[in-house]
Amino acid sequence: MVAMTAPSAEGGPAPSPAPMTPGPGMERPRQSMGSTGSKGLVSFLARRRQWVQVFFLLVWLDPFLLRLHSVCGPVFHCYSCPMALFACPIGVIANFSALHLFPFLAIGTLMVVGGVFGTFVCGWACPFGFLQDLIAKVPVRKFTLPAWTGYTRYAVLVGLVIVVPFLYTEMHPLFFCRLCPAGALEGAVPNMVKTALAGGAIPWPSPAKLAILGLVLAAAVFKRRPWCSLLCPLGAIFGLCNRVSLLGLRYRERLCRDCGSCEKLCPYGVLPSQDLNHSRCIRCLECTRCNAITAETAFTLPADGPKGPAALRSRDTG
Amino acid sequence: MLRGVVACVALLGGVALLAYGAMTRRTVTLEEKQTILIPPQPPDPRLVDANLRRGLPPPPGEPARTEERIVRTQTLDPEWRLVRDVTVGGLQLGPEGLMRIGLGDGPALCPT
Repeated sequence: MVAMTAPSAEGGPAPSPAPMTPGPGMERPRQSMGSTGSKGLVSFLARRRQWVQVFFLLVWLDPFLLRLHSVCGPVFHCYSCPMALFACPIGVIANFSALHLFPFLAIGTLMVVGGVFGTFVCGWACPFGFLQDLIAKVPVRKFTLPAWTGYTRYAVLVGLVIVVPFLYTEMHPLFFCRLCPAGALEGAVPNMVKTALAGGAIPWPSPAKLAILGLVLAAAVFKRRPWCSLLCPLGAIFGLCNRVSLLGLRYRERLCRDCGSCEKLCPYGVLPSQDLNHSRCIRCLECTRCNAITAETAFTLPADGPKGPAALRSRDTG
Repeated sequence: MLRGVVACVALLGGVALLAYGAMTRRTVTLEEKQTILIPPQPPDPRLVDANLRRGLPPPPGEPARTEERIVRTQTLDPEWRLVRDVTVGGLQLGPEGLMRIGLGDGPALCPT
Protein backbone atom coordinates (compact mmCIF):
# COMPACT_ATOMS: atom_id res chain seq x y z
CA MET A 1 0.00 0.00 0.00
CA VAL A 2 3.02 2.24 -0.09
CA ALA A 3 3.39 4.65 -2.96
CA MET A 4 7.01 5.17 -3.89
CA THR A 5 7.52 8.55 -5.49
CA ALA A 6 10.51 10.45 -6.64
CA PRO A 7 9.99 14.03 -5.59
CA SER A 8 12.27 16.69 -6.88
CA ALA A 9 14.88 18.31 -4.73
CA GLU A 10 12.74 21.34 -4.18
CA GLY A 11 9.80 19.31 -2.98
CA GLY A 12 7.66 20.58 -5.82
CA PRO A 13 7.01 19.31 -9.29
CA ALA A 14 9.92 18.76 -11.62
CA PRO A 15 10.77 21.73 -13.80
CA SER A 16 9.93 21.62 -17.46
CA PRO A 17 12.86 20.57 -19.60
CA ALA A 18 14.05 22.78 -22.42
CA PRO A 19 12.28 22.11 -25.71
CA MET A 20 14.04 19.69 -28.00
CA THR A 21 13.57 18.75 -31.60
CA PRO A 22 14.90 15.24 -32.21
CA GLY A 23 15.12 14.09 -35.79
CA PRO A 24 12.73 11.52 -37.24
CA GLY A 25 13.36 8.05 -35.86
CA MET A 26 15.99 9.34 -33.46
CA GLU A 27 15.76 8.84 -29.75
CA ARG A 28 15.30 11.98 -27.73
CA PRO A 29 18.27 12.90 -25.54
CA ARG A 30 17.78 12.11 -21.86
CA GLN A 31 17.07 14.99 -19.55
CA SER A 32 17.98 15.76 -16.02
CA MET A 33 14.81 16.44 -14.10
CA GLY A 34 16.29 18.23 -11.17
CA SER A 35 15.94 15.22 -8.85
CA THR A 36 19.54 15.04 -7.77
CA GLY A 37 18.61 15.52 -4.15
CA SER A 38 15.72 13.08 -4.29
CA LYS A 39 15.37 10.90 -1.24
CA GLY A 40 12.65 8.61 -2.53
CA LEU A 41 13.27 4.90 -2.54
CA VAL A 42 12.49 4.68 -6.22
CA SER A 43 14.93 7.40 -7.08
CA PHE A 44 17.55 5.77 -4.90
CA LEU A 45 17.07 2.44 -6.65
CA ALA A 46 16.83 3.90 -10.14
CA ARG A 47 20.22 5.52 -9.80
CA ARG A 48 21.71 2.19 -8.71
CA ARG A 49 20.03 -0.06 -11.24
CA GLN A 50 23.33 -1.28 -12.66
CA TRP A 51 24.51 -2.37 -9.25
CA VAL A 52 21.30 -4.32 -8.78
CA GLN A 53 21.93 -5.89 -12.19
CA VAL A 54 25.47 -6.81 -11.14
CA PHE A 55 24.11 -8.38 -7.96
CA PHE A 56 21.61 -10.50 -9.90
CA LEU A 57 24.27 -11.47 -12.43
CA LEU A 58 26.35 -12.85 -9.59
CA VAL A 59 23.33 -14.77 -8.31
CA TRP A 60 22.58 -16.35 -11.71
CA LEU A 61 26.25 -17.29 -12.13
CA ASP A 62 25.86 -19.78 -9.31
CA PRO A 63 28.67 -18.67 -6.98
CA PHE A 64 27.97 -21.52 -4.56
CA LEU A 65 27.88 -24.18 -7.30
CA LEU A 66 24.38 -25.29 -6.38
CA ARG A 67 23.38 -26.24 -9.95
CA LEU A 68 19.64 -26.11 -9.32
CA HIS A 69 18.76 -27.21 -12.84
CA SER A 70 15.54 -28.82 -11.69
CA VAL A 71 14.20 -25.33 -10.99
CA CYS A 72 13.26 -22.79 -13.64
CA GLY A 73 14.79 -19.37 -13.15
CA PRO A 74 12.88 -16.22 -14.07
CA VAL A 75 15.49 -14.81 -16.45
CA PHE A 76 17.00 -15.44 -19.84
CA HIS A 77 20.11 -17.35 -18.83
CA CYS A 78 20.96 -20.51 -20.75
CA TYR A 79 21.14 -23.66 -18.66
CA SER A 80 23.99 -24.87 -20.82
CA CYS A 81 26.14 -22.12 -19.37
CA PRO A 82 28.77 -23.85 -17.24
CA MET A 83 27.86 -21.39 -14.47
CA ALA A 84 24.07 -21.42 -14.68
CA LEU A 85 22.18 -21.67 -11.41
CA PHE A 86 18.70 -22.38 -12.77
CA ALA A 87 17.12 -23.79 -15.92
CA CYS A 88 16.08 -21.22 -18.53
CA PRO A 89 12.26 -21.05 -18.59
CA ILE A 90 12.11 -20.48 -22.34
CA GLY A 91 14.42 -23.43 -23.00
CA VAL A 92 12.25 -25.60 -20.76
CA ILE A 93 9.02 -24.48 -22.48
CA ALA A 94 10.54 -25.14 -25.92
CA ASN A 95 11.85 -28.56 -24.94
CA PHE A 96 8.62 -29.53 -23.20
CA SER A 97 6.74 -28.48 -26.30
CA ALA A 98 8.97 -30.82 -28.31
CA LEU A 99 8.13 -33.58 -25.81
CA HIS A 100 4.40 -32.77 -26.02
CA LEU A 101 4.25 -31.98 -22.30
CA PHE A 102 2.78 -28.98 -20.55
CA PRO A 103 5.53 -27.22 -18.55
CA PHE A 104 3.71 -26.63 -15.26
CA LEU A 105 6.83 -25.59 -13.37
CA ALA A 106 8.08 -23.15 -16.01
CA ILE A 107 4.68 -21.52 -16.59
CA GLY A 108 3.98 -21.44 -12.86
CA THR A 109 7.30 -19.73 -12.20
CA LEU A 110 6.66 -17.13 -14.88
CA MET A 111 3.12 -16.47 -13.64
CA VAL A 112 4.29 -15.95 -10.07
CA VAL A 113 7.28 -13.76 -10.96
CA GLY A 114 5.43 -11.91 -13.74
CA GLY A 115 2.35 -11.47 -11.56
CA VAL A 116 4.41 -9.71 -8.92
CA PHE A 117 7.10 -7.88 -10.86
CA GLY A 118 6.17 -7.76 -14.57
CA THR A 119 9.08 -6.46 -16.60
CA PHE A 120 10.98 -5.32 -13.52
CA VAL A 121 12.72 -8.67 -14.06
CA CYS A 122 13.87 -7.58 -17.52
CA GLY A 123 15.13 -4.22 -16.41
CA TRP A 124 16.74 -5.21 -13.16
CA ALA A 125 17.64 -8.91 -13.15
CA CYS A 126 18.10 -10.29 -16.68
CA PRO A 127 21.79 -10.90 -17.48
CA PHE A 128 21.29 -10.67 -21.24
CA GLY A 129 19.50 -7.36 -20.83
CA PHE A 130 22.33 -6.15 -18.62
CA LEU A 131 24.84 -7.00 -21.34
CA GLN A 132 22.84 -4.95 -23.84
CA ASP A 133 22.66 -2.08 -21.35
CA LEU A 134 26.43 -2.12 -21.06
CA ILE A 135 26.88 -2.12 -24.84
CA ALA A 136 24.42 0.77 -25.11
CA LYS A 137 26.90 2.88 -23.16
CA VAL A 138 28.89 3.28 -26.38
CA PRO A 139 28.34 6.96 -27.12
CA VAL A 140 26.47 6.63 -30.37
CA ARG A 141 23.08 8.13 -31.10
CA LYS A 142 20.38 5.58 -30.45
CA PHE A 143 17.46 4.86 -32.74
CA THR A 144 13.95 3.96 -31.74
CA LEU A 145 11.62 1.72 -33.70
CA PRO A 146 7.84 1.91 -34.03
CA ALA A 147 5.91 0.36 -31.15
CA TRP A 148 4.34 -2.31 -33.36
CA THR A 149 7.75 -3.95 -33.87
CA GLY A 150 7.43 -5.23 -30.30
CA TYR A 151 4.79 -7.70 -31.47
CA THR A 152 7.47 -9.75 -33.25
CA ARG A 153 8.33 -11.10 -29.79
CA TYR A 154 4.97 -12.83 -29.66
CA ALA A 155 5.61 -14.36 -33.09
CA VAL A 156 8.93 -15.73 -31.76
CA LEU A 157 7.22 -17.03 -28.63
CA VAL A 158 4.41 -18.77 -30.45
CA GLY A 159 6.34 -19.82 -33.55
CA LEU A 160 9.83 -20.80 -32.47
CA VAL A 161 9.25 -21.68 -28.82
CA ILE A 162 5.94 -23.53 -29.05
CA VAL A 163 4.78 -24.46 -32.57
CA VAL A 164 8.04 -25.47 -34.31
CA PRO A 165 9.19 -27.74 -31.45
CA PHE A 166 5.72 -29.24 -31.08
CA LEU A 167 5.45 -30.10 -34.77
CA TYR A 168 9.06 -30.86 -35.69
CA THR A 169 10.80 -31.72 -32.37
CA GLU A 170 14.01 -30.15 -31.13
CA MET A 171 15.96 -31.32 -34.18
CA HIS A 172 14.44 -28.67 -36.44
CA PRO A 173 16.87 -25.86 -37.38
CA LEU A 174 14.29 -23.27 -36.30
CA PHE A 175 13.97 -24.77 -32.82
CA PHE A 176 14.40 -21.74 -30.55
CA CYS A 177 17.46 -22.97 -28.63
CA ARG A 178 19.29 -23.55 -31.92
CA LEU A 179 19.02 -19.83 -32.66
CA CYS A 180 19.15 -18.31 -29.19
CA PRO A 181 21.91 -15.68 -28.85
CA ALA A 182 22.00 -16.06 -25.06
CA GLY A 183 22.59 -19.78 -25.57
CA ALA A 184 25.42 -18.99 -27.98
CA LEU A 185 27.07 -16.56 -25.60
CA GLU A 186 26.52 -18.37 -22.34
CA GLY A 187 26.40 -22.01 -23.40
CA ALA A 188 27.90 -22.80 -26.78
CA VAL A 189 30.97 -20.54 -26.72
CA PRO A 190 32.07 -21.39 -23.15
CA ASN A 191 31.59 -25.10 -23.83
CA MET A 192 33.59 -24.79 -27.04
CA VAL A 193 36.44 -23.03 -25.23
CA LYS A 194 36.29 -25.51 -22.36
CA THR A 195 36.50 -28.49 -24.71
CA ALA A 196 39.29 -26.89 -26.72
CA LEU A 197 41.30 -26.19 -23.57
CA ALA A 198 40.80 -29.79 -22.49
CA GLY A 199 42.28 -30.91 -25.82
CA GLY A 200 39.09 -32.44 -27.19
CA ALA A 201 37.53 -32.05 -30.62
CA ILE A 202 36.07 -28.54 -30.80
CA PRO A 203 32.26 -28.58 -30.93
CA TRP A 204 31.63 -25.59 -33.22
CA PRO A 205 28.40 -23.82 -32.40
CA SER A 206 25.77 -23.36 -35.06
CA PRO A 207 26.77 -20.51 -37.45
CA ALA A 208 23.18 -19.21 -37.36
CA LYS A 209 23.35 -18.91 -33.60
CA LEU A 210 26.65 -17.06 -33.70
CA ALA A 211 25.43 -14.77 -36.48
CA ILE A 212 22.31 -13.84 -34.50
CA LEU A 213 24.45 -13.18 -31.43
CA GLY A 214 26.76 -10.94 -33.45
CA LEU A 215 23.83 -9.04 -34.95
CA VAL A 216 22.17 -8.51 -31.57
CA LEU A 217 25.35 -7.27 -29.94
CA ALA A 218 26.11 -4.97 -32.87
CA ALA A 219 22.55 -3.64 -32.90
CA ALA A 220 22.78 -2.92 -29.17
CA VAL A 221 25.26 -0.16 -30.00
CA PHE A 222 22.64 1.70 -32.05
CA LYS A 223 19.42 0.72 -30.32
CA ARG A 224 18.74 0.14 -26.66
CA ARG A 225 18.03 -3.52 -25.91
CA PRO A 226 17.28 -4.69 -29.46
CA TRP A 227 16.84 -8.30 -28.38
CA CYS A 228 14.45 -7.43 -25.55
CA SER A 229 12.28 -5.09 -27.58
CA LEU A 230 12.14 -7.07 -30.82
CA LEU A 231 12.67 -10.77 -30.28
CA CYS A 232 12.78 -11.89 -26.65
CA PRO A 233 10.01 -14.42 -25.91
CA LEU A 234 10.51 -14.06 -22.16
CA GLY A 235 10.12 -10.30 -22.49
CA ALA A 236 6.89 -10.97 -24.38
CA ILE A 237 5.52 -12.99 -21.45
CA PHE A 238 6.56 -10.48 -18.81
CA GLY A 239 5.32 -7.66 -21.05
CA LEU A 240 1.87 -9.25 -20.97
CA CYS A 241 2.11 -9.38 -17.16
CA ASN A 242 3.04 -5.68 -17.05
CA ARG A 243 -0.54 -4.50 -17.13
CA VAL A 244 -1.63 -6.66 -14.21
CA SER A 245 1.48 -7.08 -12.05
CA LEU A 246 1.28 -6.27 -8.35
CA LEU A 247 4.17 -3.84 -8.62
CA GLY A 248 3.85 -1.29 -11.38
CA LEU A 249 3.95 2.30 -12.44
CA ARG A 250 1.13 4.77 -12.02
CA TYR A 251 0.51 8.01 -13.83
CA ARG A 252 -0.95 10.69 -11.58
CA GLU A 253 -2.88 12.93 -13.87
CA ARG A 254 -3.46 15.55 -11.21
CA LEU A 255 0.28 16.15 -10.95
CA CYS A 256 0.86 16.31 -14.69
CA ARG A 257 1.31 19.64 -16.38
CA ASP A 258 1.76 18.25 -19.87
CA CYS A 259 5.41 19.22 -20.13
CA GLY A 260 6.26 15.94 -21.89
CA SER A 261 9.26 15.38 -19.66
CA CYS A 262 8.32 11.77 -18.84
CA GLU A 263 8.41 10.92 -22.54
CA LYS A 264 11.80 12.50 -22.91
CA LEU A 265 13.09 10.62 -19.89
CA CYS A 266 12.09 7.19 -21.22
CA PRO A 267 15.10 5.65 -22.99
CA TYR A 268 12.88 3.05 -24.68
CA GLY A 269 10.44 5.33 -26.46
CA VAL A 270 7.41 4.48 -24.32
CA LEU A 271 4.92 7.31 -23.82
CA PRO A 272 4.28 7.11 -20.07
CA SER A 273 1.42 9.61 -20.09
CA GLN A 274 -0.46 7.51 -22.65
CA ASP A 275 0.42 3.90 -21.93
CA LEU A 276 2.48 3.65 -18.80
CA ASN A 277 2.56 -0.12 -18.35
CA HIS A 278 3.24 -0.82 -22.01
CA SER A 279 4.66 -4.26 -22.77
CA ARG A 280 7.85 -2.62 -24.12
CA CYS A 281 8.55 -0.85 -20.84
CA ILE A 282 11.33 -2.56 -18.87
CA ARG A 283 10.60 -0.50 -15.75
CA CYS A 284 13.98 1.12 -15.49
CA LEU A 285 12.19 3.80 -13.41
CA GLU A 286 13.83 6.64 -15.32
CA CYS A 287 10.37 8.16 -15.87
CA THR A 288 9.73 8.30 -12.12
CA ARG A 289 12.05 11.30 -12.05
CA CYS A 290 8.94 13.09 -13.26
CA ASN A 291 6.63 13.76 -10.32
CA ALA A 292 3.51 12.62 -12.17
CA ILE A 293 4.77 9.02 -12.34
CA THR A 294 5.12 6.77 -9.36
CA ALA A 295 6.01 3.16 -8.74
CA GLU A 296 3.56 1.46 -6.43
CA THR A 297 1.55 -1.67 -5.76
CA ALA A 298 -1.67 -2.43 -7.57
CA PHE A 299 -3.62 -1.93 -4.35
CA THR A 300 -2.37 1.59 -3.67
CA LEU A 301 -5.32 3.93 -3.79
CA PRO A 302 -4.83 7.22 -5.59
CA ALA A 303 -4.36 10.02 -3.11
CA ASP A 304 -7.21 12.52 -2.96
CA GLY A 305 -6.55 16.10 -3.75
CA PRO A 306 -7.00 18.81 -6.31
CA LYS A 307 -6.32 17.97 -9.92
CA GLY A 308 -4.26 19.69 -12.56
CA PRO A 309 -2.76 23.14 -12.08
CA ALA A 310 -4.40 23.56 -8.67
CA ALA A 311 -2.42 20.64 -7.35
CA LEU A 312 0.74 22.01 -8.81
CA ARG A 313 0.13 25.43 -7.34
CA SER A 314 -0.48 23.99 -3.91
CA ARG A 315 2.76 22.03 -4.13
CA ASP A 316 4.73 24.96 -5.46
CA THR A 317 3.61 27.24 -2.67
CA GLY A 318 4.06 24.59 -0.04
CA MET B 1 -8.22 -2.40 -7.61
CA LEU B 2 -9.23 -4.63 -10.53
CA ARG B 3 -5.59 -4.82 -11.52
CA GLY B 4 -4.71 -6.01 -8.03
CA VAL B 5 -7.37 -8.71 -8.19
CA VAL B 6 -6.12 -9.92 -11.58
CA ALA B 7 -2.55 -9.91 -10.26
CA CYS B 8 -3.61 -12.02 -7.28
CA VAL B 9 -5.45 -14.47 -9.54
CA ALA B 10 -2.33 -14.78 -11.72
CA LEU B 11 -0.23 -15.25 -8.62
CA LEU B 12 -2.47 -17.93 -7.16
CA GLY B 13 -2.70 -19.64 -10.55
CA GLY B 14 1.09 -19.68 -10.76
CA VAL B 15 1.41 -21.10 -7.26
CA ALA B 16 -1.15 -23.79 -8.11
CA LEU B 17 0.76 -24.76 -11.26
CA LEU B 18 4.01 -24.87 -9.33
CA ALA B 19 2.49 -27.01 -6.60
CA TYR B 20 0.93 -29.42 -9.10
CA GLY B 21 4.11 -29.64 -11.16
CA ALA B 22 6.39 -30.10 -8.17
CA MET B 23 4.33 -32.46 -6.04
CA THR B 24 1.65 -34.26 -7.99
CA ARG B 25 2.55 -34.62 -11.62
CA ARG B 26 4.32 -37.78 -12.69
CA THR B 27 5.28 -38.67 -16.25
CA VAL B 28 6.13 -42.09 -17.62
CA THR B 29 9.54 -42.24 -19.23
CA LEU B 30 11.21 -45.17 -20.92
CA GLU B 31 14.86 -45.98 -20.65
CA GLU B 32 16.23 -48.48 -23.10
CA LYS B 33 19.85 -48.95 -22.22
CA GLN B 34 21.14 -49.77 -18.81
CA THR B 35 24.50 -50.67 -17.48
CA ILE B 36 24.04 -53.57 -15.12
CA LEU B 37 26.40 -54.53 -12.36
CA ILE B 38 26.52 -58.31 -12.15
CA PRO B 39 27.65 -59.33 -8.65
CA PRO B 40 30.36 -61.98 -8.15
CA GLN B 41 28.96 -65.46 -8.71
CA PRO B 42 29.89 -68.34 -6.40
CA PRO B 43 31.28 -71.47 -8.07
CA ASP B 44 28.96 -74.32 -8.98
CA PRO B 45 28.50 -76.41 -5.76
CA ARG B 46 28.74 -79.71 -7.70
CA LEU B 47 32.15 -78.72 -9.07
CA VAL B 48 33.21 -77.64 -5.60
CA ASP B 49 32.15 -81.07 -4.20
CA ALA B 50 33.91 -82.91 -7.02
CA ASN B 51 37.11 -80.97 -6.49
CA LEU B 52 36.99 -81.51 -2.76
CA ARG B 53 36.59 -85.29 -3.26
CA ARG B 54 39.65 -85.29 -5.49
CA GLY B 55 41.57 -83.20 -2.97
CA LEU B 56 41.74 -80.20 -5.30
CA PRO B 57 41.00 -76.56 -4.36
CA PRO B 58 37.48 -75.35 -5.13
CA PRO B 59 37.09 -73.71 -8.55
CA PRO B 60 36.95 -69.90 -8.59
CA GLY B 61 33.60 -68.17 -8.97
CA GLU B 62 32.83 -65.51 -11.53
CA PRO B 63 34.11 -62.04 -10.62
CA ALA B 64 31.82 -59.03 -10.57
CA ARG B 65 31.43 -57.29 -13.92
CA THR B 66 29.36 -54.63 -15.62
CA GLU B 67 27.37 -55.31 -18.72
CA GLU B 68 25.50 -52.98 -21.01
CA ARG B 69 22.24 -54.65 -21.79
CA ILE B 70 19.16 -53.49 -23.61
CA VAL B 71 16.66 -53.24 -20.84
CA ARG B 72 13.40 -51.39 -21.15
CA THR B 73 12.64 -49.68 -17.90
CA GLN B 74 9.56 -47.65 -17.25
CA THR B 75 9.79 -44.97 -14.60
CA LEU B 76 7.38 -42.43 -13.22
CA ASP B 77 9.31 -39.18 -13.06
CA PRO B 78 8.37 -35.99 -11.26
CA GLU B 79 8.44 -32.88 -13.41
CA TRP B 80 11.49 -31.39 -11.73
CA ARG B 81 13.48 -34.38 -12.93
CA LEU B 82 12.27 -33.86 -16.49
CA VAL B 83 13.28 -30.19 -16.25
CA ARG B 84 16.76 -31.24 -15.18
CA ASP B 85 17.01 -33.78 -17.97
CA VAL B 86 15.95 -31.44 -20.76
CA THR B 87 18.70 -29.03 -19.73
CA VAL B 88 21.21 -31.56 -21.02
CA GLY B 89 19.15 -32.80 -23.95
CA GLY B 90 18.52 -35.99 -22.02
CA LEU B 91 14.96 -36.63 -23.18
CA GLN B 92 13.48 -37.37 -26.58
CA LEU B 93 10.02 -38.07 -27.82
CA GLY B 94 10.09 -41.63 -29.12
CA PRO B 95 7.36 -43.61 -30.86
CA GLU B 96 6.30 -45.10 -27.54
CA GLY B 97 6.54 -41.94 -25.48
CA LEU B 98 9.28 -40.15 -23.64
CA MET B 99 12.67 -41.76 -24.01
CA ARG B 100 15.50 -41.05 -21.62
CA ILE B 101 18.84 -40.98 -23.38
CA GLY B 102 21.05 -40.67 -20.34
CA LEU B 103 23.63 -38.05 -21.16
CA GLY B 104 24.54 -37.54 -17.55
CA ASP B 105 24.02 -34.78 -15.06
CA GLY B 106 23.97 -31.18 -16.22
CA PRO B 107 25.48 -28.99 -17.22
CA ALA B 108 27.38 -31.62 -19.16
CA LEU B 109 26.98 -30.29 -22.65
CA CYS B 110 25.06 -27.87 -24.80
CA PRO B 111 22.17 -29.78 -26.40
CA THR B 112 22.24 -27.55 -29.46
